[in-house]
Amino acid sequence: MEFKHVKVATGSADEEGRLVFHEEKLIAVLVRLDDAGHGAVVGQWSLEAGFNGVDSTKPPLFANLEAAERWIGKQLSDFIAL
Amino acid sequence: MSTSIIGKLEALHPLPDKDKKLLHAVVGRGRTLKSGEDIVSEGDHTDIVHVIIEGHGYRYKTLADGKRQIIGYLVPGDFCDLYGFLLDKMDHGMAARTQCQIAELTEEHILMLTSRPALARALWWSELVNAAILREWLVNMGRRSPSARVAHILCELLVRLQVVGQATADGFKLELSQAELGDTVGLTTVSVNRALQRLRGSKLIVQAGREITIPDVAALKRFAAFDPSYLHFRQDREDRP
Repeated sequence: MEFKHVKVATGSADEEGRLVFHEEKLIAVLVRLDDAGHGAVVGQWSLEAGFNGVDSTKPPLFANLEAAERWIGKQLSDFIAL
Repeated sequence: MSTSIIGKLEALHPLPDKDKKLLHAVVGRGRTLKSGEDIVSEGDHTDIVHVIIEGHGYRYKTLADGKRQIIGYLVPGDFCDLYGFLLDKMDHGMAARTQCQIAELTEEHILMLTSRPALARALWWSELVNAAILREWLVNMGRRSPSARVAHILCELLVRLQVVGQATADGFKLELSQAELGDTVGLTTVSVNRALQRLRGSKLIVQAGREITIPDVAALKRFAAFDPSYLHFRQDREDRP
């Protein structure tokens, strides 16, 4: 998986984002929760959008990008297994 | 103890004093439930009809993977399961969000209440309203933006709590966490947080802890495209030309 820096307009202080590519296709958009309003989860990464099996109505938050990559990888393999 | 129940039913249909006295006698003091306790669990059979005297609750369904969808709010005066005794198993659960005082009525009580025409009509109304709220929530979740979804829920709570004397003209205590709001409108906690921030940023709401103040109620209703007519309260029916 490849992670590219991007700024995301969320209407909040959460701007620092990553476009996540899998086999050269965009598979997910992650944003770091930097807004103080998030309280205890500030600093964690949030799935803002996901495609082709990475979409979830209630995704977990990720402590770091490695954790996000593991989760996205699992979503992809579960999706392919369907 | 029956004030909220009479308040809710009278907001839907006028009740003669005799009916109010009967309701008062039937409702009694009720049973106390701790916050987080189930009023009725999904899949259980209940012979008892539960009515909220005090406190807040919600209806919910739990998915196999543990995700929860909140499918209704229960506020003072609400009948949780008016004809639930007909069902073999409840198709959803109901839980106390705060400490609750719950009246427990039997089928015989319900037959006694519905044998009185005004009470029967009021109870029919309350069930129609429950279905109307569910329809409105479906539209809300499927077709409104995140901040309008949250705003719509706040408008509904304001009006529903006002009829039972639990809200002022422009505010109430929100007995829900951001995660619970998310489970209501199908958003993540992160999205609910940003939606609330947007509402605060545009001065549509002022939030101090759990206290919600709405500086311009008409403006919030406009933003949420909230039309209270689906709640069918007499006040709104009679205000109409």
